[in-house]
Amino acid sequence: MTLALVENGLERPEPTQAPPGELDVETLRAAQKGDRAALERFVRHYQTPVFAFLSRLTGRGAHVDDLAQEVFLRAYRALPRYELRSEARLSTWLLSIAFRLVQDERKRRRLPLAPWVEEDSPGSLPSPDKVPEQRELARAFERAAAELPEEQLATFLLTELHGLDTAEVARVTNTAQGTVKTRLFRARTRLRELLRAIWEET
Amino acid sequence: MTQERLTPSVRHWPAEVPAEDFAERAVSAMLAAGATSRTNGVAPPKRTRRWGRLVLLAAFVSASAWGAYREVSRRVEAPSIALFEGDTPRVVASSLEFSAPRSGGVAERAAAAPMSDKPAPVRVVSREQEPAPSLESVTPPKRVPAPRCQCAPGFVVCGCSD
Repeated sequence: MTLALVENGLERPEPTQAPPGELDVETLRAAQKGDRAALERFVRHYQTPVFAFLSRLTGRGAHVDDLAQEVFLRAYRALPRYELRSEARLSTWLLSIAFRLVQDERKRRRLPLAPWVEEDSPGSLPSPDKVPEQRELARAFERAAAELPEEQLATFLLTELHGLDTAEVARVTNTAQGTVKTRLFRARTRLRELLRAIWEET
Repeated sequence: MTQERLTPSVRHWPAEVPAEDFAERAVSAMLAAGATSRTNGVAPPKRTRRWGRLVLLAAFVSASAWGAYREVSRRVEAPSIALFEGDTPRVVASSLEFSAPRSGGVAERAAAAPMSDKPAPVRVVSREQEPAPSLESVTPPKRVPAPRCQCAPGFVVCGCSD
């Protein structure tokens, strides 16, 4: 009987193992109960992708730290309601919180309308900036990103840099899958044009 | 730049990295905020929602009270249109009597006796001295013929002839 229900999708068993790359189930359970050590492991596990997504979406700067802290605070408040059997992975769930936070901050005008383009931030990844060509490439990406609409940019980042599929991006950005595909196509086309123009300039 | 060349290059897109103590700070902030807002996994109801419900309730109650007051205090008035109309055609033929106009208008009398500061002398006339008006001085009432109207059945406007 249980097997039939599971096959019909009416009842899903709680997974005993986390998906690859995600936080293990025991730590998540402890974090949901408010255990400090588990919460710290939870933050350390996901802080890099959250920082990367926020800084590429809004530009590098001190505001990224504040935004990331707010993301984890919101996640902590909603963590007891997060169900392991839900289709969304924990990383996807966190990125959707981050995306919604950026949208909220834009509405409150606490963030600039376009991502910031800064020269060299002390907190940025050091490895690519060491090579001059890669530094130029990084600047070109930042300049091009500033030209893209936020939804297109987020769709591009989630797909290309965070490895989410169309359904997951649709869940994060709260849109239809068709819209995600359209945004992704437009973002790729526009980025290609912008990068080509920037390269020709330099 | 093709897609194949673009995708690996995206990895060079610079990103902010968290500080060493970020996790500690974040967890401290979580636990500090969680002591007040996190109750058994159920988020507290937002104040705006509660205010919204109160405003809706107040609007509903006041609207109901106003409607009841209007219903009670409404006056019952007679309908302003005639409910029954005769269907049968009628020929109206009547004559109206008018009293004869008084000789001399107000303007003529005012011109004949201009106003003065002195009050007009009062003439005392006894009943015996007052002569009775003769039959010739009183003009008999004229008979003014009323228009004759023919109303077709069902018609509101009738054709009338003088």
